[in-house]
This record gives sequence, C-alpha cells and structure tokens, in this order.
Amino acid sequence: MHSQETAVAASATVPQKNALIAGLRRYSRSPTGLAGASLVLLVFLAAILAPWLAPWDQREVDLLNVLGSPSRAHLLGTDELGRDVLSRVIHGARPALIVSLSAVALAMLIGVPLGMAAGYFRGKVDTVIGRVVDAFLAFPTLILALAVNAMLGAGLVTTIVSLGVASWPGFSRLVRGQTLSLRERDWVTAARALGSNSPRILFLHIAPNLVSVIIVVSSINLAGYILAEAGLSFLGLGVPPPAVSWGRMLRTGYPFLESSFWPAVVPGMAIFITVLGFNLLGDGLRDFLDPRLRQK
Amino acid sequence: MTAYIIRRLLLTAPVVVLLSVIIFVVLYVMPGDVALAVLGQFASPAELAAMREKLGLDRPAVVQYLSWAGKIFKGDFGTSFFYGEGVPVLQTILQRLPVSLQLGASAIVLGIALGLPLGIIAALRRNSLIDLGVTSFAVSGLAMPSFWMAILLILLFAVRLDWLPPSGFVPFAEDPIGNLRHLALPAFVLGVDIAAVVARLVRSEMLEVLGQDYVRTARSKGLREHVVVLRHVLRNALIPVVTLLGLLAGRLVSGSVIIETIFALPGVGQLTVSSLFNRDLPLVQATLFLITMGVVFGNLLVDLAYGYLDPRIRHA
Repeated sequence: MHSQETAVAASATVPQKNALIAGLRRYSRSPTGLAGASLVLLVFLAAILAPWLAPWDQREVDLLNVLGSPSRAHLLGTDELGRDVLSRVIHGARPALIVSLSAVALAMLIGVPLGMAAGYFRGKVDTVIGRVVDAFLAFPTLILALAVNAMLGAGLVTTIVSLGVASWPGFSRLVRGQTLSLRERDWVTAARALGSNSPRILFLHIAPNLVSVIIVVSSINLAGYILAEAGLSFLGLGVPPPAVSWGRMLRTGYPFLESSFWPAVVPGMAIFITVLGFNLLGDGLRDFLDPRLRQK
Repeated sequence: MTAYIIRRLLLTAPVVVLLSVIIFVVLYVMPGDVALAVLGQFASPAELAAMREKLGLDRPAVVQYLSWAGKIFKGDFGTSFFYGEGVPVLQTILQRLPVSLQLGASAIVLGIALGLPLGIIAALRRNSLIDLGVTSFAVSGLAMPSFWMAILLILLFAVRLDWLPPSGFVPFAEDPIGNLRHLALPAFVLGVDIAAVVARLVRSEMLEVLGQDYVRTARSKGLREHVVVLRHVLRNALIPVVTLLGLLAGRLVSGSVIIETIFALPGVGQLTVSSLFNRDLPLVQATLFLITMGVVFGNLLVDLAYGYLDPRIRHA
C-alpha cells in the first residue's frame, strides 16, 4: 500500500516538475522577462545580503570626508555627512522591498475578495462595491498616501497601509472583470449544477484561474509602489530615519547638486533599476502567462 | 446618447458623495489636534478649547461632516488657517490653478506630440531598430522617477549649461518668454512620462489593428499604405488612447505635486503639500476634494467621448 502511494505521488510530481522546468525554459527565452528577473534578483540579493555586501556601516558619519568624490575607499563617494553612498544604496533596497511587497499584499487582501464578490454576485453587491471602487480610483495614489501619511505621521507601517489602501481598487476592478467572464464558463455551470455552493465555486473553481493575472498585475504594481515610496520619502513623508530610503537620499543630496552630483544621482539610479526590473518582469510574466500572446 | 449621458451622470452622483465621506474620514478620524496645529505647542488648554469650539471640532463627527458637506456643495470651503484671516480657501486655490493648468496642458500636449508619432512609427517598423529604440524609450520613461529626471535636467540645463532657470515662475502676462523658459523643464519631465505611456499603448493598439481582417481587405483593394494606416488603422487604434487620457489625469496630478515642489512652481500641487505639512485642514479638504472631482469629471468626459466614438459602448 505504502509503495503504491509513493508510486502515485511520484508519478504526479514528475509531470509537475517537468512542466515547471519547461515553463522556466520558455520564460528564459524571453529577453525582456529574463532582464527583468535578473534586475529584480539583483535588488533582492542586495536587500538580503546588505550587511555583508555593504563595504561600510551605512550610518557611520565621517565629517572629515563630507561629499567625498568616488574613490577606491568609497566607490560611489560619500554624502553630506560623510556616509558611504554605496552602502546606503545597498541598505536602501530593504525598506523599498518591504514597503512594496507588504503594500501589494494589503491591496490584494482588500481588492481581490471584493472584486470576486462583485463579479460573481453582480446586482446590488456589484453596484455598491463598484461605486466605492470608483470613489477610491478618483484619488491619485500618491495624493491619498500623502494625505494619510501627513495626518498619521510618516512611518514604515503608515506608508504600507496608505499605499495598500490607495491601490486596492485597481485589483478589485481587474478581478471583477475576470470573475464576470469566469462565472459563465462551462465548468462553473457544471459545478453549480452538481450542487456546489458559492464559496466553494469562488475558491475552488474561480480563484485558481485568477492567479496568473494577479501575479502579472502585482509585479507591475510593485514598480509603482517603489516609485510612490520614493516620492513620499522625497517629500519627507515616507519611511523615516534611521532606515535608509532612496527617496530621502535623493532629497538630502539634491542641495549639493552643483558641487557633488553622486549623493542625488546614485539613489535615483537604484530606483530606476528596481522599477525597470519589476516592469520588465511584469511584461515577461504577462507574455508567459497569457496563452493568447504565447500562441502569437 | 442622451440616455447614456444621464446614466453616466446618475452613476457619478453617489461617487461624489462617497468621495466627500472618504476625505472627511481620512482627515477627521486621524489622530492629532487641529487646534494645537493652529495655535502651536505653547497654547494654554483654555485657548485650545476655545479654538476647538470656534472650529466646530467639539461637535459629533456626523454633525461636523454634514455641516462641511452642506457648505462645500454650495461652494463654501471655509477659510484657511495659514493664508490670512478670512481669506476663502477657494480663492487661494483658484489663484494657484492657472499655474497647474498651464503645466498640465503643456505636459499633455508635449506627451501626445512625442508619444503618438513614436508609437505609430514603432508599430509600422515592427522589430526594427526604430521599434527597439521607441520601446526602450517607453520602458525607461515609465521606470524613471520624475524627481530624478528633474534633478538630472536641472544639473545639465540650469547648473552646467545655464540655459534655463532651475526653479521659480513668471506669469505669462508679465513675461511670455520668461514664463515658457520657467515651464520648459517641468513640462518636459511630466511630458516624457505621458509620452512613454502613449507611445507604448499606441504601438500595441496599432499592432492589434494591423492584424485585423478589414485592414487586409483594405490592402487587397489596392488602397495606398498611408490611406490604410490613417483611415483604417489609426482611427481604430486611437479609441483606447482616449480612455488613457482620463487615466492620465491622476498620474499627472501625482506627478505635478512633486514637480511643482522641486521647481518651486506656485501651483495647486505645491499648495497641497504645504497645506498637508501645515495641517491646514480646510485647505487640505478643499484641494483633495477638487483634485478628485477633477479626476471624476475628467473620466466622465472621457467616458462620454468614448461612448460617442464607439457606439458599442453606449449600447452596452
């Protein structure tokens, strides 16, 4: 009996494993997707390995070496307090990723169930959720996040909450559209005919078919959150010190632009690379997960 | 079309009411004492209590909301805490509006003038070097933080070359050339962002339409290529671009908040940021409400234009 179960399990995992390898192989053929994945991987590695990768302590002040040009000791120079710019940029990857990943999780947590409910139940539920979504969509993400952060006080958690709350309607609208189409499919009608109740249909038959589109949109949204967090920090309402934020680095380096460009230019490059990475990853995933595009 | 307009207006009404509730909740339920922000930390408890009573902050939240909502629907947004005693908030905003409108309009014109031809050329020369160049421009434009691009442009054109002023503003009526010189860099930064979005969308829509049967039919009829492109491809490819203009309104507002701050442009974006820092509640409420109204009615106009251009939409 035991060997039979093992054999069944093995036969089930082998095709799955093969499909995964085939999928990865197909994804790796897309130059866009591959470039995006490489850049994102680079940023993740910087965030995880920051204490080991950074050549200096990111908070170490050296007033004798203020705004030092790039040199062998400080590859990307020092800032207005003599801190190593390279070390600060590497450490800046952490709050950027923490904020964006948490904000996307929060936006999904609110937007996906509401979108599914609106698309599946339609009628009054759809009307009510639709109007709330419309109202939230009228707020430019950065403006709502600015208002919440200004009123609550800037902080890591506030930034996550404000970005998540400002962006859930996008997920809701997308999921609603997909659910509206999925609920008319034959397998859903069959499940309903067999007596499945609504929660069962939503979780077992509709939710799995939403995964790919949610992954693609999440990746593109992550890029937006990186930009928004940097924007908030640039305006002085993002992640506060002692955490290093790329947006704040840019702001504090900006007044010294005339004499030393690196404290402002380098963090901007880090934001650009990260956003580019997530955008390209999203494009690659969309091409990979959308069968219509794959056939083309 | 009239029935469609009425239906869209009826759907917009509850959204406007909901917006006012959200703005009130965000600003009133938040911690922090507005009276303290107005009077400063050295105010006595008696002074604070008197200020709370004067501002109506001692009343229940629902009463405060109804009083505020009733006034704003009559166009009365109250008076600012910081911009002079008795100066209506609406007046302060309207004084700043022309700067933001000029910036926004310049950015949209620049964005479309740049993005539209780039998208069309890229689609017509698919997989060529031009296509690669346009796609790279669009991808980079979308990924580049506007404030970083602004800093780089200031560094090059204002600091190194000394061609354009790094910040500030001159009204057009006072000095037309000076006005355009001050707006050149900020409008370009916002315009590039719009151009990137427009080029990307026009390219993909053009490619989609180029593959349609009716385009093949037009070609097989012997029509010249430019007639096929202008009459059959572009006209259909541009319909989704109209929708995009509505979505761009929000993007433009977010962008202008940062850009107006960097370039010290006295517009509504900069006013929003300073009012948030000052906790100037009447001004914050008014700017948020008017910005969101702008987005809602901008989208409504786009929807109506879309319904006019594509009959399938209004009959759906």
